[in-house]
Amino acid sequence: MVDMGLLHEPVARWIWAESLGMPPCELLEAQLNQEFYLKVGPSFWWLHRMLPILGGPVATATPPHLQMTAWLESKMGYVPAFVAELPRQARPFVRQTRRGI
Amino acid sequence: MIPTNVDRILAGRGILKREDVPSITAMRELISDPVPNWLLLQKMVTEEDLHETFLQISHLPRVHEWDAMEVIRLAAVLPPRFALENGCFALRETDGGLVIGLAQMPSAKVLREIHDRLTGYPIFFQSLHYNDACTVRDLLQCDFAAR
Repeated sequence: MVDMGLLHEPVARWIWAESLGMPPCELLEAQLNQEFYLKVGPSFWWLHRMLPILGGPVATATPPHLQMTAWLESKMGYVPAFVAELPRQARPFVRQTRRGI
Repeated sequence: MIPTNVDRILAGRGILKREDVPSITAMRELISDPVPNWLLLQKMVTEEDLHETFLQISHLPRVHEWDAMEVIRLAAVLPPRFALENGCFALRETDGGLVIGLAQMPSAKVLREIHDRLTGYPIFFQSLHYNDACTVRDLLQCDFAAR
């Protein structure tokens, strides 16, 4: 709907975040937490459509699985807070961050 | 720099000869099939070698237990033969979420199909040990043939 000009991206993100039951993410201001990105493994983030953001939260385009959250907690050392990102927005962000690694 | 090319990792494990890696890298530019398929066809590696490399690269949590009846019950979650063709198996359903066991890394297209089909469902991707992957594949193949 964003591509077709029916919705502005911030509005789409807000609706998406509502449907996932979490606050929206502002990727333009977000920086990748490279330490956790590499510690957990790029494959994990790519498969789950998630990315760890510097400062604590995990941006996600999918609802987090309870067991997955517990596993992530064991890797990160704290309970991750999730913020919602649109699936189409997460992909270029992943590519951009991968180039920098 | 992380060595992400399968051929380099296989060479690092002593499965491929190091002197073959440059020609495999060059060949990567010429063929459209994924390199692992080509290595298999050339009998330069075994399926188990590739599977171990997938486990090594992916760093995903491993599937420790699964139930045959549950796997058959959940088979319809994914399109017919999708699991068998792509090595992605719906293994367990808990609290409305799904555990998907992987026998290989899905392509971007396969991953998109999984997320599109399961939109709204929490998914946890885990990796299957080689023997478990073979058993699950055989199980679904038998179930599919019996229908």
